[in-house]
This record gives sequence, C-alpha cells and structure tokens, in this order.
Amino acid sequence: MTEEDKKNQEIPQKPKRPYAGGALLIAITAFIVILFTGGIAYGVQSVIGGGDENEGILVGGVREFRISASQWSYGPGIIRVNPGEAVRFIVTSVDITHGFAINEMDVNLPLAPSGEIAHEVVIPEDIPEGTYTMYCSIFCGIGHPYMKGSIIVGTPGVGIGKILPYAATLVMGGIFAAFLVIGRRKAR
Amino acid sequence: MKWVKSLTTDLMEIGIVRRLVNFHAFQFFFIAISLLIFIMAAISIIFGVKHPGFNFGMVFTWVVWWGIVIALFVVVGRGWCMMCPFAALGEWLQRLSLWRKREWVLGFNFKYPRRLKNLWFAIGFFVVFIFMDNGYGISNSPDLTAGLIAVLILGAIWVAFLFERRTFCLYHCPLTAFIGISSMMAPFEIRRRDAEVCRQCGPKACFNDSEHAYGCPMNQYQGGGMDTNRDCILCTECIKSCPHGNIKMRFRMWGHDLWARRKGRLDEAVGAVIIGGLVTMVSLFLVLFLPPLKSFMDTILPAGVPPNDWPRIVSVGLLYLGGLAVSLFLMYGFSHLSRLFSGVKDSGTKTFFTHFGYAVVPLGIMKFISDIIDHVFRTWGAIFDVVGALFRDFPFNRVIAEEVTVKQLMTANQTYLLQLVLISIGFGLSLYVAYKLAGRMFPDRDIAFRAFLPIGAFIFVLGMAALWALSAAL
Repeated sequence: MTEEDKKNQEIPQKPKRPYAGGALLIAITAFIVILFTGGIAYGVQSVIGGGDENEGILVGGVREFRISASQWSYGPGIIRVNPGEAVRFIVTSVDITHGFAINEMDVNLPLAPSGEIAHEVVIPEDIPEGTYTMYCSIFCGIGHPYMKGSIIVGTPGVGIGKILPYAATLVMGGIFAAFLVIGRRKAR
Repeated sequence: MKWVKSLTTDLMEIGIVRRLVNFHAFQFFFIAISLLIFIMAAISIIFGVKHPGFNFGMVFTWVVWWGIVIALFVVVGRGWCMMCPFAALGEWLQRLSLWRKREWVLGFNFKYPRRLKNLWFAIGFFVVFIFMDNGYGISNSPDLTAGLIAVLILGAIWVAFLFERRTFCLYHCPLTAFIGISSMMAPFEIRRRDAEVCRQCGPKACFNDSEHAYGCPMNQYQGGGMDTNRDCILCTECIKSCPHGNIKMRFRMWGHDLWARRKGRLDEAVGAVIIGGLVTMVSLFLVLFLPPLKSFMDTILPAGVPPNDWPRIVSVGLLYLGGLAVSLFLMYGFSHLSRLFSGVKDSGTKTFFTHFGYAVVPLGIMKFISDIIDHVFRTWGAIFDVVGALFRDFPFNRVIAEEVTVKQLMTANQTYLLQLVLISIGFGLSLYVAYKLAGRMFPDRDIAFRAFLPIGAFIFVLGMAALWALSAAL
C-alpha cells in the first residue's frame, strides 16, 4: 500500500474536543452578554436619561425656555411645564438645519443653522399629566432618530416609556435563551 | 388555490405575471415612473425653497425614497435598482435604446479588471457617503443633494461609456454594497429551474444575450447556479433571454441567501458587519459620547462656521469611524471566541469572521426600518404639506408651505413599542441565521452549537446597543 493510499484510507478525524463543557461555555456567554448589556444600559441611563430638569424663567408671566439644538441633542434635554400656562420656546440650532417639534402641543419649528426662532404656546388645561417628547422634525443624519428631549407636564408617575427598554431586554434575553435551550437539546 | 402555491414554487406559472415579465418594456415602465418623479424632485431641489423641511425634493429623497429603498430589502431585494434612473441613463446611452435589443453598443465596452471585482471600493464609497451626510449634512442641504445627484449621474454615464454592462452598479455606486448585501435577506429570488437544462444549453443566452433580449446586465450567470440576490436587480432580462424558459421567480424564507450560499466572502462579511454596526454601535457611540467629545474638541480645535465647524466634524468623524471599527473588532473578537469554543484548530479566525459576518444583516435592516419609521410616523403631515406647496408653484417649488402640519400616526411610546417589535424580529432572525450558518459549517451539532454561542452573544450585544440607544429620550 502506497503512502497515498494510506492517506486516502485514513478516517477523517473529528475536531479535538473543546477545552470546556457546554455548561461552562454557556456560562461564559451569559457573563459576556450581561457585562455588555449592563454597560450599555447604565451608560444610556446615566449619561442620557439623567440630567437636571429645567423649569425655565418667568418673563412677564410667560415661562421662557432657551433651547439649543445640535447634532443630535437638545440642551436642556428635560424641561418641566404646567397645564394652562403660557410657554415661550426660544430655540437655536448651533450647527446644521434641525427641527423642533412637540406634536401634542402643536409645535413644529424649522431651525436654520445658527438661526434663532421664538414660539409661544399655551399648554392646554386638559392635557393629561405625563412626559411628552420634543424631537427633530427634519432629517439630520444618522443620529436623527435619537435627537429628542422630554417635556414633563405636571407630576407624572413612572411612565411606560421608562419600563419598556427593560421589558424589551428581557424579551430579547428570552429569545436568546430559547435558542440556547433548543440548540443545546439538539446538540445532545 | 394554484396561484397561492405558485408564490413559493414559481410565479412564472401565473399567466399574467409571465406575460408582464416577458413584456420587453417591463423594466422601462418602472424606470419611466421613477425618472418622472426624480425629475420633479431634482427641479425642486435645484430651484425650490432652500429649506430641507419645506422642499418637496428633499423630503421625497431623504424620507420617502430612502424609506422605500430600505423597505424593499424585506420584500423583493434590489427592487430600487430595477427602477433606478441614474443607472438607466448610463445603460440607455450604452445600448442606444430604451428597451429594444440592439446588436451593438456605444462606448469602449472594456472588461472590468478581475482584481477589482469586489465590494471594497463600494464599501469605501458607502462609508464616505454616510460620513459626508453626518459631517456636512447632505440630506440637510439642497445644494449638496443636487451635487450628489450630479456626481451619481455623471459617474453612471462615464463608467457605462468605459466598461461593459452595469459596472457602475456592481462596483461603484455608493449604495451598491449596502443594497446588495441587504438584499440577501429578501424573501424573493430569480433562479434557474433545472440545472441539467443549463448544462446542455449552448448559447447561454441568459449571460451572452439572445436575439431579442440582453444578457444579465449585472454580469451574473444564472445557468452557473447563481446562489445570491446580491447582484440581482430584478430586471428580468434572464427570463426574457432564456430560450428554454428555465428561469423561475418565487418567494422563499427571509434571509435564505445569508446562510445558504455556497461560500462566504470577506468583503461581503465586512460590509454586513458595517451595515449592522452603523445603526447599532455607531448610533450608541454618537448618542453617548458626541456631546462630551465635542466639548473637548472645542478646547483644542478652532471654531468655524457650520457646517465647517471643525470640533463637530472631527468629533462626528472619530465616533463614526470608531463605532465602525469597534463593530468590526468585536465581530473579529467574537469570531475568535467562536473558534476557541468550537475547538477547531485548522480554520483561522478570519474564516469564522467571513462565515458568520452575514448573520448581522437582519438586525441591521430592521433597525434601519425602525429608525425611518420613527421619522415617518411622527412627521406624517409634512409630506402632504410639501406636496401641496409643490403644486402651488409646479414644478419649481419656490413657494414655502404656510406651515408644516403637526400630525402623527403614533405617540412616542407607541412608536418605540413598534420599534422594539421590529428590532426583536431582526434580532431573532439574526440569531436564526447564525444558528443555520453554524450548522452549515459544522455537521457535528455539538460543535455547531459551541461555535454559535459567541456569535449569538455578539448579536445580542448589537441588539442591546440598538434597543438602549432608542430608549435615550423616553
């Protein structure tokens, strides 16, 4: 039998057994996942979700807010108003064109680069207490979906918006866990 | 019902579909419609009001068109490329015909160099295009948008004059890598029916032209067993030219090409990770670090007048490229972990990267869709306002809309809920693709499962980046 025949008759070897058992690998994977998820969630909540509420200043009975819009945030990012009061927004874009919109209060302002625009509204008496969103209404790049701020009306409790990301994290964790369970069962 | 079955077996069995597709002006019909709308948009962009929120062309291009391009990925793939007027201008010039077959072509008809037949240039153009949009605001400036359109038209015509077929669409269009790789997720395909018929076929007309129809303008050979949508622009020339009627169209499982193609390619895998990383990791980086980095840059770089304000441009550029680099680095790291977990020694980490990179695509596409949905659903009324303003001064659009209506289809929380559903679907599909890819790489299910674990973890990390970045303003 030639060397080549011997080689051809060799039974293909399975790859070497990995250095660790399946349970350990799942534990390492879970650790990595929890580490990254915790870091991301903490980062977003502390850097973005935090920040002080701004109550503006009263000028002639009108609550006035000076808001600066830039890629891709508003400053201040959280403002507080009361139902029934007159509010003046003085908004400036410091870089490119943006928008400033609050749908529930019928506000939609186009902001030219370096331009300032003032707009006055009366917060409806009957508007439900809650957290509303101010957002950029003009497409302004990859961060456009995140260019948002909060308007707190009255003293709302914890809104569903605060709970949803945690619930979604659990749902996605559940989907991943389902893959692990099914995959592990098939692997056996 | 027979036609329902035909949806997943062969749409060409349905008489009206067969007649439509075999109609020579089939593609021209779609191009004519898109060209008409494009001309209206271009006139509006060039002559109309210079505000992107009130200009019909700008709203149409960067909200409606962009939304349609992305939405088509999850329906028919490169549907936009079939009706793209830019490439059509080059092709019409090359063929000197709108749809009828001619024997000769205009231009040099050079073959494109084999070494350059990959996606690296296209990926580079895409990365630059996205940076230009974010640094200089192309989607925000009518003048820059007009410039981009001019570059695309001139580029498409020039390349069509030099090289054969649709070389521009294959290797130069700034969107071709993005559209091509994303289209591998589409639940629709045009493929050969019977391999034996193709083997026996002499003229290979699906590639080489027939008497009455052109061969594939994208240089694909159906008879050779094309196994990916990446370069299929749905022009249906292969169906028209095949003398044996051996080409079928059908709907199939979402993401099929991502795991079922014969061999992965590094350029495609890198492109896939960039698509996924762009709307997950890059977005998260920009949300988290742009304000502090810009504040720091303000102290060391000279201020300028927007859009040439260097602290902002440098900060955006650093975070953008940094986010892409981190995405690629993480994918490489998790691929290495996958190799370690599987215990395989004879394949390198690059092989794992190339094999599993495709898995990120569904998550990326669904995140793109959820981003555009946020804008469309919350600024719905603006579309009617700008269309109304256009028709008050048709076609120049010099009249500004009296107001931009505040009209939304969903509240912030409802939109976020919908976005979460879409991201979860993309996440689940990405995991499924990764699981299938692991199964294809390793017949041994235990090893496949071990290889899948780190890739699944990477997809989970990207999913978390997408999810939490969106939650920032709630």
